[in-house]
Amino acid sequence: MKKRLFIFTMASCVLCICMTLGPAWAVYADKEQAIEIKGKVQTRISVSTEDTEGFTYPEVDSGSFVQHRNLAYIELNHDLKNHSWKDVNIKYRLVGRFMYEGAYDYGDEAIQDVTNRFPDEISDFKNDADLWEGYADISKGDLFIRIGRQSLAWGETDLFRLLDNVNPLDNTYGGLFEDLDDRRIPLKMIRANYNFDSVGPISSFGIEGYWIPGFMEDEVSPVAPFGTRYSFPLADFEKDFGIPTVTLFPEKNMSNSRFGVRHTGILGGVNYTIAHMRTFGDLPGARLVPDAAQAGGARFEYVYDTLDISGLSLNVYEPATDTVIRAEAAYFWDEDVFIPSENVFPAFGGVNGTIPEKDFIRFMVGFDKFIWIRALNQKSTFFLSGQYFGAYARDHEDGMSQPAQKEYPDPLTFPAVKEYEQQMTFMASTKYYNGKIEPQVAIAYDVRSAWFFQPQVNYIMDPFRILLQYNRIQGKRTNFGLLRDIDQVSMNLTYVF
Amino acid sequence: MKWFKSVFLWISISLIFSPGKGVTAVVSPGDVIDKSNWQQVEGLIPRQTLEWVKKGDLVLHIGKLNYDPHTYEKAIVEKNFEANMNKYKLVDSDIVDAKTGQPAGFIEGIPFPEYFPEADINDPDAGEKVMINREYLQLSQGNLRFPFHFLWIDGNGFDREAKGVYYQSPLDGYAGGRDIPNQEKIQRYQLFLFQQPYDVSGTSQLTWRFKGPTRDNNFAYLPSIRRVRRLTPANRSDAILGSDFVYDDAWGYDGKVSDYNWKIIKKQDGLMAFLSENVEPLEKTGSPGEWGTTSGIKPVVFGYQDKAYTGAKWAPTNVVWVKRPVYVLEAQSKDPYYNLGSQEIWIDAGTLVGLIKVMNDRSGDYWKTALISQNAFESPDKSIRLMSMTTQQIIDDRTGHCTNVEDMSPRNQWVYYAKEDLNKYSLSGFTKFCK
Repeated sequence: MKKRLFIFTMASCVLCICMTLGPAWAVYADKEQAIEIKGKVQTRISVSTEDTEGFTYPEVDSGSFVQHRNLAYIELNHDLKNHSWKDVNIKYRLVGRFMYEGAYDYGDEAIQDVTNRFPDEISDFKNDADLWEGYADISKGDLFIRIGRQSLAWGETDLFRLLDNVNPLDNTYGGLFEDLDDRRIPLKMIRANYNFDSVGPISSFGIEGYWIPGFMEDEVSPVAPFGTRYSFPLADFEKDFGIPTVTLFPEKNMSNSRFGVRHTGILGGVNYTIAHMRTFGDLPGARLVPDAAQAGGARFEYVYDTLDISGLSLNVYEPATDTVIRAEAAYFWDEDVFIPSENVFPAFGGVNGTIPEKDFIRFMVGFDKFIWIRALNQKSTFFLSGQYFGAYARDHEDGMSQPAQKEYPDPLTFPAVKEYEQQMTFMASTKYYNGKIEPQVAIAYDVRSAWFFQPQVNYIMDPFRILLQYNRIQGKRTNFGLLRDIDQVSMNLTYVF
Repeated sequence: MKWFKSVFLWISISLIFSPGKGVTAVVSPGDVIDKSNWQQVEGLIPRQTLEWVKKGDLVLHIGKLNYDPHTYEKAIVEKNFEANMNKYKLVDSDIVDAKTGQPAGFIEGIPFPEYFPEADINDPDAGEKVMINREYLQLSQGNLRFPFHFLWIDGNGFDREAKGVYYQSPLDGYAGGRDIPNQEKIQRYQLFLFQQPYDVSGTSQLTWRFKGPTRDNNFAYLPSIRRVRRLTPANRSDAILGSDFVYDDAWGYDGKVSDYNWKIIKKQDGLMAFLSENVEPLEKTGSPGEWGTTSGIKPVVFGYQDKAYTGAKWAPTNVVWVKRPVYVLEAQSKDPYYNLGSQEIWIDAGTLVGLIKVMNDRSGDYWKTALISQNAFESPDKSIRLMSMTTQQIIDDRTGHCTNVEDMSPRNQWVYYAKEDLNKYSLSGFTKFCK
């Protein structure tokens, strides 16, 4: 209680100080304004709007205080334009990030119980301070190089990723409820692109490549620690069956390097990309292996394996409907899959489970359109964006499943992965009151009867931004429907400078 | 009888010189026109702008320029002025060679110098030719680079602002574009980059404007998705960041000239806003060939910045209003979904830079007005002389809200003939601006 009061008092003081400050403006450290310092401080509070069920942990009731995520980004940009040498332009960017999740200290009791049970894991998980991004840009003529910790997004998709798989995602604090870019984890990378300008009928002909040295960088998409709110529902194997989970992160060596290359261009009005990359999947493979040292005689292992993706994407403006059409297709080579009879059950016979691999073809077709709906808004258009995603599993087997529990209380029922999966998304947004009010609604639908619904409104009261957001998932326990019982309402208060 | 004649003469003179229908307004340099004497400017500014004066929102300080602005604007296209006389014509809004009828290749200077400054207003294409000349006058200033501030001003004064940088590189009109390979027939590259506040920082938009009827290619980098997104080129009447400005409002009109129907209604005297009565200096920036405005440039003071000012918060309080020859044009977008109806544009005939644009909604009811001020600029050796836009404002008369674009000011240095790498306008080069 004292700790909560202390934190609340400190937070209030910080807010009061911020409110006495002037407009949301960066600070310059030099007269030429070449060194710019800016950033944001954000606090996000979430309250659950339904009771958890089944294998979702922690078990909280509707109205529980489930998240208080505090973030600060401090960014320094320095353009060395006045010190350029032989037309080589150099600038650099440093971003410090500080994160503290307060729910594990003063949230709902069920959440604090997770802290008590896994103190070391949660201690690592609930706060963080690091150099989030730090890179230098070097450019001369048609060549551009960026070296350092950075993020890179390819492809044409929103919400779900196909070619946009360069950086891992941190889904541990909200998953689908959070902006994709907020979840992207920067990696130490060297990236270069070269503009060939026009080559034959192709304009803006470019080649881009990146390399993430495996001996320097081993960051992958983390799995939310067991018992935390945004982890996929799983039985408590450790507590109930004496079977713990161990994560085998990639080793730091050259063979675990990630890389990618793509060609971009415009041909006949179509902006296209052809790409190939090697990355690590967002989800590790999982297997059960016998382990006599454990009470349950086995342990689960999460294993991260490299994944190759080849694909192409394109966009084109269609004048008759005044619409931008986007499309993307990607071939996922040897992706780790979960087939209980191979990953799990062999361990019951004293044999290591294996992680089978399958190829997938995933694609998206989408549209972006600005439309006037003057009955609702006379000054700004509505931006509408829709996508259809398809995923085809080559050499599909009947036992292919998602590694999460489907039917409580049976710990070994898993949602099936169909040979062909389909999802659709839709997003609409506009601006009111001279851009100060920005309502938006995002919807995702899995044809196997799962819905995701996210209305939100952002209000600009310089230097503050206030976001109110509701997240609801309902339907069958499949794909994102597995998270159907963690609906919540959230408020973000952000101070920008 | 003598007294009767005197009275009759006095009454006649009074009738002749008092404002009214068909009577010329009288203003002189040094006059200050406010709500007590608005009649003096009736007919010299659009009716809606006159209402501001009547209400006390806007006070006009009448001035006299110490230079001829037409000669400054003409200076940048002087070289090919005579050579381009009657060299081109308009066919279906396309500029073609008058002799061959083929689409014009590279055009240096303005394509219709015979209409600058005197257009034949009986020519049904006169309006379009004047606007094309205006476009090419702006292109002739070469590569441009300047920071700007976007200011939201409401009834209480300053609300919020955003800061950005603007880049423009013409491949037509400007002599430096002649030898640049241009198989795509780009007329102009344009890049907006917002830098502040933090949540819009990095948002940028790249436009490839093509010669002829080909629609623009528009791309935007959005930091929230960290990638480049293709945009529709038809969304020109949508608000920028939710402000009163729409994409076509930049420079007074920044769309393709061929997207509108233009008609010159009349040519007459009108009042145009100037930054000052004097030529403002240019200075070298340090990069060879570049010339920039100075930090000593006269700042425009808006109503919210002057506590003593009793007019509108958005009103420019210290610009000079000068009587100039103006064209009054009627303009209407050809796009049936465009968010504006007809517009009346009063544009300085001698410079085609300063203007007042009165905009109606789709029902034909008055909605908002754009004010663009201008000024002459000159290098110390007088080798560079040009006219340029100095401020842009859109005033929404329904809400009393205004968006100012603070272009030239002590903190925003404009650079002309900027040394720019055209690579930044390619899709690969555009990624340099991405986080």
